[in-house]
Amino acid sequence: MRPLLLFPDGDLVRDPADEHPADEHPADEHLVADLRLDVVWDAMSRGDEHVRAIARRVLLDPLRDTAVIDHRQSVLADFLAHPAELRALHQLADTAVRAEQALPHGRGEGLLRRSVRVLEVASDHLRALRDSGGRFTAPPLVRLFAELRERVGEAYLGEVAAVLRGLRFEDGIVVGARLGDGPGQVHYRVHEPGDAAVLKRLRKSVLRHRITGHDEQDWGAMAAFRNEVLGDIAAAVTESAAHVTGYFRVLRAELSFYLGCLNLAEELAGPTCWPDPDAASVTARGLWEPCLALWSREAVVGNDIATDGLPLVVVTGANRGGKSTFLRSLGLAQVMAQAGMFVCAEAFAAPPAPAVLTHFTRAEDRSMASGRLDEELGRMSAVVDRARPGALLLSNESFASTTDHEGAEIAEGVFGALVDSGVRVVAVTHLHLLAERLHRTRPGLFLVAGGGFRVVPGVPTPSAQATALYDEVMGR
Amino acid sequence: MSIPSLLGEPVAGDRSGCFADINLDQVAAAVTRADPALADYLRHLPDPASIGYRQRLFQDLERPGVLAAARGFTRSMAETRAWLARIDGMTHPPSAGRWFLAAVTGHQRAVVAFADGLAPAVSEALTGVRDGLSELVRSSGFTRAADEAARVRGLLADVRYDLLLHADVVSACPAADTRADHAARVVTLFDRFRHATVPVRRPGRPIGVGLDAVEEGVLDLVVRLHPGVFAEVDAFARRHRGFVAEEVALLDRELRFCLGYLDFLAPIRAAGMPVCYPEVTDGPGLDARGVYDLALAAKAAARGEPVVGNDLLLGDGERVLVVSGPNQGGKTTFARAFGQVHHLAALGLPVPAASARVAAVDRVLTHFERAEEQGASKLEEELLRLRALLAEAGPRSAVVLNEIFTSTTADDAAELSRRVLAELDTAGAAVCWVSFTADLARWSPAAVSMASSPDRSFAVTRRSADGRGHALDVVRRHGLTRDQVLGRLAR
Repeated sequence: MRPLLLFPDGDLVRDPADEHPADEHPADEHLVADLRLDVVWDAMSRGDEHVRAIARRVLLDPLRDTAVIDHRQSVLADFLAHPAELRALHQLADTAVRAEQALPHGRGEGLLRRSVRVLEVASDHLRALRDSGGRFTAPPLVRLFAELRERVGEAYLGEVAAVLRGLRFEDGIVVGARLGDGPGQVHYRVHEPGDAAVLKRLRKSVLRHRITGHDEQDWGAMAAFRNEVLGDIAAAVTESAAHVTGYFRVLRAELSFYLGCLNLAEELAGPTCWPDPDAASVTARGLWEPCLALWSREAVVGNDIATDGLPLVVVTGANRGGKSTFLRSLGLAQVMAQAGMFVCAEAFAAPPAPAVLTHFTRAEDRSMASGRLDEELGRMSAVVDRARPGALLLSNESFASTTDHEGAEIAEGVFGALVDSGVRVVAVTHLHLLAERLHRTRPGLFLVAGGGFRVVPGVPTPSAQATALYDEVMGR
Repeated sequence: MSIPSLLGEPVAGDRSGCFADINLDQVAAAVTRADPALADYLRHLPDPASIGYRQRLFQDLERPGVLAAARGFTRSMAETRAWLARIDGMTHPPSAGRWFLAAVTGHQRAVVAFADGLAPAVSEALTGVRDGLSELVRSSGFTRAADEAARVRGLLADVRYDLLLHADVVSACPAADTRADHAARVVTLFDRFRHATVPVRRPGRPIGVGLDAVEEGVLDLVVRLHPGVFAEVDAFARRHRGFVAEEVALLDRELRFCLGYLDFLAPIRAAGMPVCYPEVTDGPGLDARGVYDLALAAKAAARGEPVVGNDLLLGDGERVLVVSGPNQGGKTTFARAFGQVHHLAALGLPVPAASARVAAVDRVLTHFERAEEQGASKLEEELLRLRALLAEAGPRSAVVLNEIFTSTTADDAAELSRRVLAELDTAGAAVCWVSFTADLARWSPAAVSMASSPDRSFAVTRRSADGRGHALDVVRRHGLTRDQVLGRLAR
């Protein structure tokens, strides 16, 4: 049994005992910083570290399979329509996981008692879970609850209760023993409780060892012997408890993603839409940048863009004209769409990219100190390592750490080679020389960030840029 | 035929006096961590005639198949020792008997496995061991014991019984029909929730704990159910007391030293430092390349770093290396490496160098400054130690002197050093002398002057005349020219 809420036939959590495995590719840190994904995750988590960790993993593991994207969109749409039910389900899974964590550990008999208790509590939670899916209509949710009704019916839970009751061994423990190969080794196999004939034979036996009970050590030794005898059955019950708890852990992890999406949706004021992943090229209407909106709590400007299949998009224009915001809005839309989420736009269509890569200038890059170019090139080289046909590279003022002429030359070489290799490049640049050369030599969509933080088609002329700068400096 | 000794009897005396000075005490501690008594093998120099025999032994041991066989054997011997110690402390005969049977069985298997595992051995030492072990394994005493052990094990394996644990009583009776395993049923019942393999570690019985009162009491019930089997176990234990042959125990001891040394070298090699089998010559002369301090390299290797190696050269008629130069320049490390390479080569061990030709020495003598004393008494203490050193030094000695006479004036130190140098000349020893007296080397034709560098890490970086050329160099270095990017994406 698997929840299968994030993938039609796979799990986000591959080992329930390790819900938060060590992190992804180190280069993802640049994507996180450049797109300000932390702001998105903060809004999704509302301080819940577990939700944050799951949101992080899902967003950094972009989907390429449009069927999986559809799968998530359908689940998320259903949950957004039933927010109270989603919160209750998440609460239930969380309670089930925490109930297990609250019990003390032990070994042998102590471990057995603990695990029996875990399973008793989990049975109640399973019943509650099974009976809470009535209002959902999304196929993955319908499947989940149908599976629960089929596999966790009352007959099954009754059998579970009976077995758990037997594991209290109220009539004593009957066990078959066989001397093992190792010294002092005995293999014990606990018999199913309740066989009257065997009990009778053993009760009549004259071969008995009775502890004196005079001192505590005797009881300690008896307890140790019981631990030894119960070792295998304790391991079996503990393993079973781990399976059931693991089911709740996986469920909680998957629900956490949707809970994060719900939280985010409630924070955002602007229009959102379901992205179309089956499109051949990028088309957006009213695309806006959610981090800025979360930050300023104000409506932000939306942009329209249609690449018509062109592999290169170059954005130039005045400083603080909204170029970076536009680039981030595009990157966030791509990443959120490939996580199966809604997107901050009136309409958005884009094919899934095998990798979403960023190369943003760092504030310190502008200093032109020696070593900056080296650092920038090092990051670009890491980008090339991960690039492959269909990948999306968002470049923001790359190679600003050297002279304009040199920067343009390097960028033209790198971007040209990437585009020729099938990588989609969206480059924001103040390097007029670069924009002008790319415009002359390559098919692409050329945009200018103008007034009102809007990005519109066009190529700036040097004079236009100079006059804009003049205006800016002179305060016109 | 018997099993030959790998390392033989020590010939020269205890050389541990020099150990701390040239850091070999640290090496010894690391090599013999499990059994400090083994450090004797590192202290005593063997007959020079056996150096080749030992080198071939170590080279043989470094081959993977042989190494695994030797490791398996020493591991099993350690287990046998631990078990016998435990059995000694046992007061309950039936359980002691079971442990003893297992100890004998394990030992028999280990001896047979080692004899087989040495099939690819080529060295005189290990082929001798292999032949000696094969003969032992084929001996009637050994095969009879193995057959007996197998028979008694079979009897024990058939012992079955049922128990009832209730409150303060454990009852036993002969085993009824095998019933379904309840643990398996539980696992099946919850299998539908199984996600991935969830490993459950069953807490094991703590090693070294014998049976407690309840287990003994229950085993007594089992003895009453199966008296014949336990009588056999008891008889077996009485017949096979002292089953580990003395020469096998010695072999294990020697192997533990050899493996300990190779294990000590492993991380150093992994950090990129070379180790070699030196050519050990009868006459004087030294040509060792990339020599380094083994103890220092071990510490650096723990951080995954290599250390700097130096070349040690003494040509015809040269016997003294005088090392001077700035502090913190690696002079003392150089001197220690000089002492180590001589001592380890004389032991027939692989040495910390890329390649080495070393004279066989019968002793390494050292003189390092002692921190405790000051002033006139310090000079006296130094002279007393030097007198003892010079009395011992001869043509087959390696001598390491580290900054002597620092408590006197420079003039006095120069004069005293000159006299010591003359004495060492007469003795004909190979010397490495770290000295502030820079022109010491001029006073003896046998002396060679060496200096530590003020900055070992100084590197020359290419710098082109114009910035543009430089930038494109950097682009190329990152693999980001147009052609490079195209090539990388076409992979």
